[in-house]
Amino acid sequence: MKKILVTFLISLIASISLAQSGVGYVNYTSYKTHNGTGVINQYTQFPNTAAEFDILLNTANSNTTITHTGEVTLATMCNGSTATPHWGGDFYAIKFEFWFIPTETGSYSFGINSDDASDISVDGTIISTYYGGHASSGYQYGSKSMVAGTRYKIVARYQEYGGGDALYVRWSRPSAPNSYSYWNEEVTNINSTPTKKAIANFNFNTNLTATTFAVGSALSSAGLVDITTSLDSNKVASGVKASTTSGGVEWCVIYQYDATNQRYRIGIDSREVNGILSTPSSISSLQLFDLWDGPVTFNSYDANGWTEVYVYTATQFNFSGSTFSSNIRAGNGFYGLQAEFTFSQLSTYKPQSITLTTTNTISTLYNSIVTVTDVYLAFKELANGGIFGNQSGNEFGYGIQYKNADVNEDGAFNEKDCFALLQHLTGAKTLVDTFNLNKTLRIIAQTRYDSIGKSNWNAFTTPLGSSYSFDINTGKSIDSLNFTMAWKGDANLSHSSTPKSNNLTSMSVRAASVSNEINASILTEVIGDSVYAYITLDPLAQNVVGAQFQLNYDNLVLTFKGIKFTTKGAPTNFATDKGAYVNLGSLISDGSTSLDNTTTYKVSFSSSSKLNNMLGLVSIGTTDAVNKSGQSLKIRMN
Amino acid sequence: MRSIKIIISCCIIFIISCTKIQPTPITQVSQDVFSTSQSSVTNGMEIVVNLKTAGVYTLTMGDSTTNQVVTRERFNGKVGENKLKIYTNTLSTKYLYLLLEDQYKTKVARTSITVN
Repeated sequence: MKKILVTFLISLIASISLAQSGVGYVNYTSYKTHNGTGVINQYTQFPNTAAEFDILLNTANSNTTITHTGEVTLATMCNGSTATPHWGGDFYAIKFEFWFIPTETGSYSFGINSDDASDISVDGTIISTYYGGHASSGYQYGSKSMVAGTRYKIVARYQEYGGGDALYVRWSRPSAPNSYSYWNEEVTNINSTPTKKAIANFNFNTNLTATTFAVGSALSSAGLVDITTSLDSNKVASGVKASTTSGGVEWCVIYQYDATNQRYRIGIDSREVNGILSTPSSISSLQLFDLWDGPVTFNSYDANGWTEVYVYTATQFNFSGSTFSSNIRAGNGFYGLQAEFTFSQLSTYKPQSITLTTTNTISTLYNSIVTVTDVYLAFKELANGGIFGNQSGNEFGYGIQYKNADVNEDGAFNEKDCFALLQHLTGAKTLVDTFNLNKTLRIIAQTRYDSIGKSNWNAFTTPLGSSYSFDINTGKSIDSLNFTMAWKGDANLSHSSTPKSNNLTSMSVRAASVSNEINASILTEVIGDSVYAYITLDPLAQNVVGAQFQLNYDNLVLTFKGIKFTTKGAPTNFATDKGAYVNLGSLISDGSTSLDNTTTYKVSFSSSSKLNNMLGLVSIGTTDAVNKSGQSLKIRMN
Repeated sequence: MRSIKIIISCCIIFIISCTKIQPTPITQVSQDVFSTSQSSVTNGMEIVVNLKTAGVYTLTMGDSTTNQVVTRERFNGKVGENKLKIYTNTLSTKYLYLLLEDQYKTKVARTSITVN
């Protein structure tokens, strides 16, 4: 029993120890400088520039050696502690490195104070310095504009020649510029790859309930869901990064800037590559002093000459302002760089994919998505499209309406689509062979959705589907993905996301708003062995050209027998038995006449057993109506 | 000895937690829904409507939230107790009102029902 307890305690302590790495920790490298005795034959007592600091820490100098490496808490770095392992009490230097992931977007102010010299850089750019020999007598500040969730590499370094020794680091956030401290949650050690997180934000139409949809977990009422657990966190090899440190030999050449192609041609002496990189063509990234840190395009490899890459940039390198200027020699049409190269394998996340699911029965939901209003609006848009159909009508306000209405998906909105919509409405032929999200829905990135205009919608090729593929190699620790939803056949955008207005679209969607009401009533009764439901319409003052009712019935008791339409004019009347409800109504697609208050639908059912009464066996589900102007009307059942 | 006691206690708890509790059969009785302001109803439940005069009446079920009529039935009422069934399988809303009117659409009674 004692053994078990001891084993458990050891495991617990071990797990606590392991948990110490990561957030709130920084890496350090400690150096013995001045040969540990104070000699100044290779560099001065105190660095007065970043370049002098580089020289101080350059182990190519025999007076500088690395003595310790490891991790310490952020507080150890920030609060003047000398607890970070280092050489002796004098003649040492420490370089701290860590990832900084801001929690806010805006200007961060970093302060550094030290005894003796110190500086701090963000992504290779020095932002604050306190060079020279001195006590820790005050903070020196520099600011950096940052984006929340983006990962920045910060290096803070200080050196001690003699006497007192200390380093202080602090920063303020954009929301409180004068409030300085240090926050563990914004810092993680350099060896720790932050767990990639992603949040999906679906822009739902108000006619849909977000919580009935899920990506792994159910969406919040606002359409948000953390999809981190749905991500594939495995990385794959994606090229090699070449990195440089200052050296004594010109292993690198940068040729004159090619303004025509906006690029530099850069040569790496192949003796730096040979025997190290089996495939020099795999070089895809380059860190070149403080001149460039980013992607490159491989050009050529000559085992006895140069390995060449291109850096594409519209901004020319700042040679004269480089902190490595002493390692850069301006030649005739080129620069020679005294640089030593190291190579590291790069890896990237695989392409990601999420799948949206729903607890809704799509066949039922779809009955309220594609309705009589969509069909009428599509016909009206088509009729207004000119006698050759080559003009844009004036019913659709957004490009996505054409995409939704192009139900045969041939890239053209025409009469074929309108009749397919009509066939769907009347039950002659449904728009999809299977009712599921994969056949009825498009998931589209919000920015893409907002760019779909009336003139470019047919170039928009996102297929129907409940899955969405995306990339998380964004450099951020948290990706926010904004999605929209567009439904096939949803011409009036009653259930699709409403696009933001832009110069590609107009401001209004004529049929999307519900601004008018009409009345209808229902009455049921048992007569003999049959039961009947009567629906009557009262258009009030509206010119109603279409009406649609979902009449639910209890199929355990009733069987649909038929319907008798009483309508004026020659509308297209329809009634389709869907098993648990009847989809019924009328449509005057050319708007030539309208439905009046004599409009009645008499629906008959037979019952499986003798009924005395039927209250609730038949009830009204969703309804829709449309007027001659294409406005969707709300049917008030009374 | 102490371990044995603990094991026995755990077994007892396990056995108790796994014992299926048999529901007590409920005898369904007709409910005079209009005699109370709020009733719970289930599918196929019988309700009692007491009428003072015979004639054609309508029972309307509506959504208490939206005030939209969901269904309405016409029936011939007799004086005294009228037993009617109420069906709930087709209803998508839980909170409803029940309105009894005579043939002149004069309100006779109204109550609230909750579908269980």
